[in-house]
Amino acid sequence: MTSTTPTSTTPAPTTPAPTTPASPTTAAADPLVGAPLAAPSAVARPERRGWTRWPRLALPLVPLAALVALAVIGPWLTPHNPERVSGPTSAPPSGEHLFGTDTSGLDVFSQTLAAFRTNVWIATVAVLLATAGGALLGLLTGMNESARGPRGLAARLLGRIADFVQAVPGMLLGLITVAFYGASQTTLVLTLGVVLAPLQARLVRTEVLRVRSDAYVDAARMAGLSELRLTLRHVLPNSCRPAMENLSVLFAVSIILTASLGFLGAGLPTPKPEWGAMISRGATDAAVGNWWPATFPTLALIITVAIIAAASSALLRRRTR
Amino acid sequence: MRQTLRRQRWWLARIIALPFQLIVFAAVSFLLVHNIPGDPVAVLTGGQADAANRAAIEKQLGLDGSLPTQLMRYLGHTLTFDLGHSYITGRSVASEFGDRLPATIELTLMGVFLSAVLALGLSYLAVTRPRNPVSYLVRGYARIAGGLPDFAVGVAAVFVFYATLHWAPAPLGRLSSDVDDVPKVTGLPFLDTILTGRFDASWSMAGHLALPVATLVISQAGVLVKMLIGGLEEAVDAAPTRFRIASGASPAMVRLSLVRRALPPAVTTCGTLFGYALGGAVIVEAIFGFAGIGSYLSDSVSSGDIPAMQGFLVIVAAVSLLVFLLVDLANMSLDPRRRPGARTD
Amino acid sequence: MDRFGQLALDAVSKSFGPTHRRHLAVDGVTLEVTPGARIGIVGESGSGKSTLARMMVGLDAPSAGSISFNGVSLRSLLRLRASRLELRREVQFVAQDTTSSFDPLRTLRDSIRVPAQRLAGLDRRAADERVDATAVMLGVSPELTDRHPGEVSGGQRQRLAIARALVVEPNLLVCDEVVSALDVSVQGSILNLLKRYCVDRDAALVFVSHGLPATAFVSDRLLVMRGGQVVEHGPTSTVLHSPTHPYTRDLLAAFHGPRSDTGAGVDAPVALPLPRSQPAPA
Repeated sequence: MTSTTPTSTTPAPTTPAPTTPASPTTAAADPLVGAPLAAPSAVARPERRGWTRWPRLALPLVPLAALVALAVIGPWLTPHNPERVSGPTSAPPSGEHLFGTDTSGLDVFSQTLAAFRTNVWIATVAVLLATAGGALLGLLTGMNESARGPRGLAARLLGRIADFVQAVPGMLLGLITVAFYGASQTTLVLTLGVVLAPLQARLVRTEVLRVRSDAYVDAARMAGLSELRLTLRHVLPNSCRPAMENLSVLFAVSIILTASLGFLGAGLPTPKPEWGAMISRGATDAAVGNWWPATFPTLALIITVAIIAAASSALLRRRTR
Repeated sequence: MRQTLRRQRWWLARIIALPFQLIVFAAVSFLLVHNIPGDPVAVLTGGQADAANRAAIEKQLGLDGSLPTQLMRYLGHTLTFDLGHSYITGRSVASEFGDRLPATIELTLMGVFLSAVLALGLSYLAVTRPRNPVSYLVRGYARIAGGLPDFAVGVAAVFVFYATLHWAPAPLGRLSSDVDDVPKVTGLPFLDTILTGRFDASWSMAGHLALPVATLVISQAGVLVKMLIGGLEEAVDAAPTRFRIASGASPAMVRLSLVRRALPPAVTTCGTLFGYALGGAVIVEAIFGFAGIGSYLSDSVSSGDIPAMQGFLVIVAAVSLLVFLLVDLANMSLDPRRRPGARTD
Repeated sequence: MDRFGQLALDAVSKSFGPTHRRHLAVDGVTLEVTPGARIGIVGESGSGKSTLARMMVGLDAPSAGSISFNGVSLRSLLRLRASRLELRREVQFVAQDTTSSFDPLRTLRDSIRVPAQRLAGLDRRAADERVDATAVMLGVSPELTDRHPGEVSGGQRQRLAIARALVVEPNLLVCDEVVSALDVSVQGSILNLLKRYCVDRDAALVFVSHGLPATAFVSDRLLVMRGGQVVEHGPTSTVLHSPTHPYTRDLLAAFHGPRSDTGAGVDAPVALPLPRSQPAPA
């Protein structure tokens, strides 16, 4: 009786979904599509609508796939070594240097391209970290904060701490933490994660407060699920939608925050290609009329943010029927 | 008396809690700093310190004794506004901030205030005249809210208006070099030029401030516009508005009630915006060569000046908490449901 | 643990809100539910009957007093996994909310299968068969259970919510306003069903509702609640024919129309009238 584990016979959430080779990110976003479904009592299931509308829905995701590809193979496409001087200083765009060179003779095109990996990677990991941490925090505080005794007290305290972190401007907190612990990709990711997690926690908590009084949560309790089980099975999936919708905003924020830190000199060490540091170096060029060293990384940054925003709204449209 | 106290509890409690929150924050930042890898004495002396020397330096830096004693000493000093002395310059951190913080706050407030005014106007226009071409622009601008990095806007502004068009003065400070310095009265630079009657300096400073403030406004106002459009649209359709229109209230009354109900989320956003703008001000100061906490922060970050950075954390937290307190109080007086105890759950 | 023998409530109270303005929702209720007993609880909105029902199944903890199952307190039964599962198998609950009674992200079958597997100890195939059989018993086609909750009607959802409670074949079923949101024809069939289930299996039923006729139909004992207190308690026929408390008399008048012996007004009231006298202190 106690050893009965329903999940062992439930294939959907654990079986890896067969992915379409063209765009692995979209298939990963919806593990339920295409997963084998249990067929009890000879019943025809309603057709999965996602498949029939597939091509039209996949279209907005093409830029996203391109972005991911750039982030993965970008550093190998550079015509020049992005971390070595490769031409005259401050040369305007030409056939040899598509985006020109900066004050120290680094090729702006190669730097911009190679920085895709740095910036997109940092932002992606930071956002995932912040969302996982935020969801955990939101669940813990939302489920327990009105409880009596030490459990409720701890949850309320945790909530206050999150509010606190949120009250301090993220960029300044990030700047100082990075300064304290040294600039590396790990520090940047962890710092951004800590700075952004309270935002997600707040969104999840609001939903948890609504969901936890829904009748199906009590029904799950009556069905013998433990509090942990029912939180994971019912409360979490029904509470994470606003946080998911917020992912693209968060991604933009972390791209910009990373670049801001780089701009203020607390980013990764100099020759490492990173948009913020490039724009910072380009600022002095811009002041004397050389527009190219700052413009191209800025464009890359804005386009990246736009692609993520478009892809996420397309994905979310697909989820709402 | 007791009854009055109880009725005023919602704001009294918040104000009383503020110092305690600050102490907690100071303690947390102290412990955070304490866990930093590396040895400050070694950094200071270049690894040359012998035992006696080391003890003296540790005592001077407040690093002697056990962790709890150090923590208590630090908190005690913080309560008396003593934030320690810079490792590098030896100057008091608190007085450094006293010199620089007001200028940054002034810049930030200018940015937030103008953002709020602009956002209120634009969103009102976008909601009440949806077919106006300007409204389309406003909505487009709101959609890219948050996607315009302040440093990019600032650099672009310098390139276009200084390097290309030569409309703006050189990004090298608040005053042109041919204008004499203004004596310090309040520490808020622009206000001081007016208070001392130095209108030539006011004029010069206004010219230098135009681009930085515009940079802050352009990169920050979008979020507020987005929020206000959403809030206003919801409020236009809400039952209280219909009731007001149905019961024959004057258009002015209807408008007032609309704005009042769309305002609380926007006020909260203003508070958050202040935080962003404070961060933005640091960047803008770097771009336009302004004196303020931005350059101090950059210097202490690059030189590893721990007391300065620690002081920075505490002061920024204090400013942010104060702003959030004001935001909460404003919202609680606008909307009594937000007061503690009015909660239904 | 044994089969359901007795659920005993002893001076149970429940209060909500902060200390300085506490609101007493349930005020000193003592009650005993034995096998096969069918107890109806009626009262107006806010009389504390829903809170009482939730406490009976351990979803809310009483602020004072104690609830025991076969002589062991609910609180200690809920603490351990094994005894908690035993308790859930014996005592089931159907809530009043029909809109959120099922997780919108899962199929109805997914939700109904859980108690069949965890509590009745069935394997997946047997659980699915049990789900089908229970759905049929409640007059819902088994195919419907493969839909999501938003894709069936409110009446079907409510039948399936009852099915979810009945798949474990409980010996005590606590129903909180299960028919109030449904139209009259559906109400009738569900009430018949519940009564038949209890009579056939000799299972106990606690039926909470503000509707007097429905409650009277399924119950053999009737409790009338007001302001958190039980103001009248007795066999259903006794309470219906010779009510002692003025509030009960008003309640009856609301359903029977004007009757000289209750002293109700001349017009037949359409809704529950407010009692003219204060409820007697317990």
